[in-house]
Amino acid sequence: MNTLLAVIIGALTVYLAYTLYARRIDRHVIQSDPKRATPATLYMDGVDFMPTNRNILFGYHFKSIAAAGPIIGAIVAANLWGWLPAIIWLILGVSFLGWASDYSGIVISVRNDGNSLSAIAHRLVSPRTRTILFVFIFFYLLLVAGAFVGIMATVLESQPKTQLGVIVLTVMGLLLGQMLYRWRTGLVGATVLTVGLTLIAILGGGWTEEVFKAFTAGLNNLSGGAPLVTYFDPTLANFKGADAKIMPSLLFWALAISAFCYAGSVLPIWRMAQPVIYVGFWITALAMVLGLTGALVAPFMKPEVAQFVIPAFRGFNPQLGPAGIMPLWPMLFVTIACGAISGWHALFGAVGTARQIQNEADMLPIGGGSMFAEFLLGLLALLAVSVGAKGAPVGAFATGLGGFISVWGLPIQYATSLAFAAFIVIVLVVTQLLFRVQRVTLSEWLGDVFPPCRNQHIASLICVALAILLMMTGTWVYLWQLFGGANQMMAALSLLLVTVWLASVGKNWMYAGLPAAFMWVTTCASILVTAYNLYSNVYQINMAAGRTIPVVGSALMILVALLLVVAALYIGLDTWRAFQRYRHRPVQQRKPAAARA
Amino acid sequence: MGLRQKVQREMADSALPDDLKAEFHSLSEWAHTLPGKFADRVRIRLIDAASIEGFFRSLLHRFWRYPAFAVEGQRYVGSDFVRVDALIAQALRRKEEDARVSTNATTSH
Repeated sequence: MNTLLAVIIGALTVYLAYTLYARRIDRHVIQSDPKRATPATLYMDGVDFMPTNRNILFGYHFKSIAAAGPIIGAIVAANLWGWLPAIIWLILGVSFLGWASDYSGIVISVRNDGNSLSAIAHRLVSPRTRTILFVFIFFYLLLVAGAFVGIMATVLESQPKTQLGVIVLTVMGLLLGQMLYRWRTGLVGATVLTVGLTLIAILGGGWTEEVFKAFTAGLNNLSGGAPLVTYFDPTLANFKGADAKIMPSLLFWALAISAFCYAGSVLPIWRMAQPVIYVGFWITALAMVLGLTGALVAPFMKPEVAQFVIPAFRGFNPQLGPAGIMPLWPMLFVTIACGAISGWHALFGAVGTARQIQNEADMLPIGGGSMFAEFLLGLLALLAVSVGAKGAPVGAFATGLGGFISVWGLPIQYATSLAFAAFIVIVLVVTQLLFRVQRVTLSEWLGDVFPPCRNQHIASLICVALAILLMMTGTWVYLWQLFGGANQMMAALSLLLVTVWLASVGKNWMYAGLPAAFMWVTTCASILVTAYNLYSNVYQINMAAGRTIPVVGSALMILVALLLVVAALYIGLDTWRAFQRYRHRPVQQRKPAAARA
Repeated sequence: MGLRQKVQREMADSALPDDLKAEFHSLSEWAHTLPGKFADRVRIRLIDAASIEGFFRSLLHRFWRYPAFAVEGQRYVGSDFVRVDALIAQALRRKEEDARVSTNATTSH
């Protein structure tokens, strides 16, 4: 297998699934009608409801759904089960489930006055479903935050070459905010300066490598070389498991990332979040465009970076630690989330994009089209890790992507630095926004019973502390799978809701109902497997060794896992009852309003 | 107010410094006056300068300061909306004249 063949398979998948299946559902089941008025045109207020051009809305929607998910999931899955199961799930997932979930999230909101999923659940299913969804979303955000902070801290600590780039990115983000909004400098000049300097710092990370190594050694000397926390990590020693240590340097980088996210969460958007995202976009776009085109032509120009070097299949139940189980079903289906199917996409599509759809004919190109684009991002990550092979998962990804970029003549060490930076930037910009949303969620949820939560600084600090506590358990692969489980469960719940809605309006519900049932059962099972692994591989082993933090952290994660399953069971039960009710007696559909001329 | 609206409202409130927010409001108010002045003969597109599209538009039209306006190829940089109105009126007149010339040419042919 080589990269060109994989890219051709990917392109064929997108073409066939879109034209033969997705379009058919759009025409014959949903019957999207360009003449029908959308909420954006009916309730246009210039803020919330705003008819938006299809191309612009596609870019906006894709930017909002594309994060670290498709990259990390593909990397982990390829390392656990091999590249073949990973690519099969990516292809089948996006063709039969992923696009349906993203598209339907937008459809259900557009056809229900632009209401969010929870509001529709409140009306169609039951009031308690809305409350459960609310709690579910908070823990979901917590898991994402913990997973992302842990992964970024590990990469930064172990790759001193990347540290200068991240520091300069932060400074340049702040400088760009100052230049654009205070000094009112032109965008072109400000972009050239800030993106250029960030790029130089990323490519020249090697210049300061020794300085940061000495800094790391100095930090670790603070504890006399002793670890702050020792825990058993089943992902080490080729998945046989070994003791891992959290050194002061790792905690330092976790705190540095948290400080960055805290600032991104409480400072005005224009001061930090927006400019950092803007600078980061250019870095990521550069790496992705060079990488994807490099993967395409690599078999002809540099064949040594185009051949898959990891095994196609490693087994149905690879070992993960001494007592863990990692069965292909259900675990593969939550490990690779965003490139195949993702609840975040449906959630965002329903509450954001749907209110800007100016024409029903745009729902499929924007919702389904963005999902297929995200699949290509997941495929690129899978290709990179399949040809990169050596080292930790993120390192293998950067080596592989760096190899593709180097096809264009950039020396491999610089190309790898750019690939590492692209990964960190993608995760970093999402995490800072995530803490902002989580902070608001917390103050909404607990603000009445615990008023200090209404203070943005206190709420942000609570969110940061919880994420660091989760990270200190060290077992990021479980955290990732728990997040994957929650994310996929969100997709299952949105598809369940779509199924109920389709039944309520007397339409064929099979295209949403079958994926919903599969994902609901799979994600419930995967969360229980993860809880079992946490107990047998982490909780018990660390308890026997008398290590408090990993024990507390893993107990917290088990509790979150069980809460997610209970929430899913309640929602599943409620939607099943609602589905039975509507299936036999659909409600009358409202007559559609004609679109404005 | 729902959670989503809270997040969105909070982000919108801190999206711009106060002086730029005031400038943006006056720009919005002016944009709302356009249908009254020019009916449906005018289409307006508002582009965030600090965005990828904003970058390419700035490069295309050679805008180094904002707010900046491009009316059928004519450029204006500044906050004097009366001048933008004049540019729009001028562009509409030009279009009408072009249409008249084209109709006359077709008739005589």
